[in-house]
Amino acid sequence: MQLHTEKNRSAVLKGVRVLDLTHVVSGPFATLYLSMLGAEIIKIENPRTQGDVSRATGPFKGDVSLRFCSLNHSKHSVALDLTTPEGRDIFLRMAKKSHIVIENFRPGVMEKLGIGYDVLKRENPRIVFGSLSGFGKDGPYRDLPAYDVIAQALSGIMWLNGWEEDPPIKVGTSIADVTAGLNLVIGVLAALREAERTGEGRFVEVSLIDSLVSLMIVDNQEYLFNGILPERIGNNNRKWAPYGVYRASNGYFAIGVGSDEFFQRLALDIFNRPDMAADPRFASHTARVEHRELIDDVLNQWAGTLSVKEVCRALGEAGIPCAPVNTIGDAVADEHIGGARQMFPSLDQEGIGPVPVTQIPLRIHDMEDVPLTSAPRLGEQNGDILCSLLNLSDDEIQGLIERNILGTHQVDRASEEQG
Amino acid sequence: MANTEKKGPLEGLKVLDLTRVLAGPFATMWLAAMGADVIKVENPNDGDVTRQYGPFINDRSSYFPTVNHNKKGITLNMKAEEGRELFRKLAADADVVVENFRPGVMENLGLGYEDLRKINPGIIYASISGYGTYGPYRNRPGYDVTAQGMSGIMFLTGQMDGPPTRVGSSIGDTIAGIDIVVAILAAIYCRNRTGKGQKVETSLVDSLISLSTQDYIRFFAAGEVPCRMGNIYKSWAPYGTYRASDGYYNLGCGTEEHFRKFARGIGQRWMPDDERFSSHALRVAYRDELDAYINEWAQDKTVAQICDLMLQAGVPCAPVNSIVEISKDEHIAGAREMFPVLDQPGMVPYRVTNIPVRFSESGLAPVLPAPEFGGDNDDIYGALGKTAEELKVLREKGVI
Repeated sequence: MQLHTEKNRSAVLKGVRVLDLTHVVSGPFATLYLSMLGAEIIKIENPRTQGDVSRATGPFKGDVSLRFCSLNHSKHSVALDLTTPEGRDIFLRMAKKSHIVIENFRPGVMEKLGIGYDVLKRENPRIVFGSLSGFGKDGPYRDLPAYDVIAQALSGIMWLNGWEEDPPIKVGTSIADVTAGLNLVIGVLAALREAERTGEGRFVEVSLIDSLVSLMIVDNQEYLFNGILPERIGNNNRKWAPYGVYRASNGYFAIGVGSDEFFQRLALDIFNRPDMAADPRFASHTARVEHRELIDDVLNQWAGTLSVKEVCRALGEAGIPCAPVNTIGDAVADEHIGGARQMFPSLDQEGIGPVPVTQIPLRIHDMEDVPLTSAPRLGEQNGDILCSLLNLSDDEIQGLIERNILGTHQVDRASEEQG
Repeated sequence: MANTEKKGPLEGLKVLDLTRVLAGPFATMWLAAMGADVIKVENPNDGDVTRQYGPFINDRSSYFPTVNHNKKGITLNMKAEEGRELFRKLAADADVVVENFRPGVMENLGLGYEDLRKINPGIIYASISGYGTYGPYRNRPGYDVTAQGMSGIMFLTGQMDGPPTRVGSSIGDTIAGIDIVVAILAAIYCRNRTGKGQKVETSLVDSLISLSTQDYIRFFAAGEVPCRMGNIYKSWAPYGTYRASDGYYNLGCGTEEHFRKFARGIGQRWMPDDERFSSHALRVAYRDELDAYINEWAQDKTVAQICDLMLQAGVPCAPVNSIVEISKDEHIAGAREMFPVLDQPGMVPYRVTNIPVRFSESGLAPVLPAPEFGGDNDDIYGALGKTAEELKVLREKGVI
């Protein structure tokens, strides 16, 4: 990263140890975020099921799941059977030496394993316990299963997404999973601050559904306030025009005319239409929304003969917010996003070589970036961590492996396509 | 758990909030909801533009309080030297400064991070911008819509044969707001260790891109550019959005067992044994025929009836809710308390949207009114030692 004057300071969460009991997307996204901020993540996986199900989900390179890599690099793995008394005991001893525990099981699973918050708190009063679930720990839906798409449907975000005359549409990324992951990171860091101040940890929880509902704060407001239900409006904006997506000769671009001044520049510098700049039908946001179609006609006519690049250059020179509607390929190749902002660093994954991954969006000035390291093989750090953290001897560790309490790595490559 | 008598986990944290519109105010609203003392600093000449956003009641904006409740408010003209001096005094005693100006604005005022750290080495300076404070696009203006376009999320959203579609909520703003809260809290942890603050930043574009980790895998692995898929999933059927007599519902059969339960649920037990519907791959190939059975079964049933039948049968299913249903939902609005009531002076009490984290021993802050424009000037400048006479002069000069 740039602009730093002294790069000699260690990462911001250095020294924080996290026991990570999560799997699939939402939880691993949260602990990945913490690891990128410098926390030590010990991912605890079930040896009987070959660990996190993402390990068996494609695409693969060699026998390594790239999906697993992208969400679990820079973490350690311990394969520990928590259903055995000995496994549970080892976990509790690790919890005594950790700051944060994070899990995304269905409600009740941690309690059934005998490692719920009440138990952990007795072992370590400072422990911060972060819990992520589909619907939360209370309320009538707490035991229902949830996928990202179910949370999208229930939260109302899907209902707002898409075109007036068409059915609701899914957000094209797993927005519920990742937002809940982010929100849990906030929760555990806020609780960590309190633990540092008071010596007492906290149980923190977040659900997929609440996370999306909270994200829609502004959309909810119109209805909560006066009962008016916002409708799907495709790419338009309720309050501003032109604001949305338009077509150039070879693709799409986004434009945001968010002030009268931007519209003046659009009319004069781009359209060369002083009459439009002076027209009362376009003099305010409200007036422009009302006469949106007239502006759209001129905008479409102008952009229709130009490439996306030409459109963006012209609007950019006029100082009007605009952007190409990028594909992922475009974003990766972009000099700003993939280039200067380094959003896609490569990690050197053991055995298969460089794997590009997506970076977290935070930049902490004057601070070294956390180096990316391989996603762990199942149970890769069993010995290292049990030895350094709990002072177990090689013989004791060997005994745990023989009693199937600690797992060892086995390749289990399941079907290429899974949810 | 949103017990208002318990104190929030950020109790005692002092935040100077220079942000406006959505991304920044959403971030400081999170901090306030977790118990931080947030002082919103507005320009006395115009203030946060969302004070002018509807819907209105008694000429008062409901938008502004929605993302600015639980904050204190002062006015300060930072273009005047006297205003800058007051700001430095406030910053000397603050833990966090948050701003979402275009990069360079604070530096030009002599109030950038390098200036503020000289006054207060522990200060955490947080910045949200469209494209970040460095890189070739740093000076470009950015909105949610441009960030959605730039990040690739818009390209991935929409019908397969339709145009790219904007996510129908301003997630570029709100996600960047969440990310900066993460950065601030991480920097606070670090300061407890080292005694030093630092500058943290995110951009709307970076924030949206970081959400799409999963979507990029196939591109990185094989150069395949992922495309819009509408509501379907390319390897599973039935999976997606369907129409009932009174609205839409989502159905997801992820396993053969789900499909057997589903077939029983719609009264077509023979389906799993039919060659055309015997695997995910075949069901995807015969999706139209499959959908015809589903739609015929659903056409005379309501969304509520369908969800009951499917959930009883053990098939993942949910209504496509609008805010109308959500605001009445026994789980979301009821047990989870996602819509607490705000009693803003001069307005009828109305509901706002809560943050989604809950703490066992700490409560969230009670929902208190958004500040009047400059409403806390007397208290806060008074605490800096300004007398009533001095405040009057500052007011006349337009400094506050």
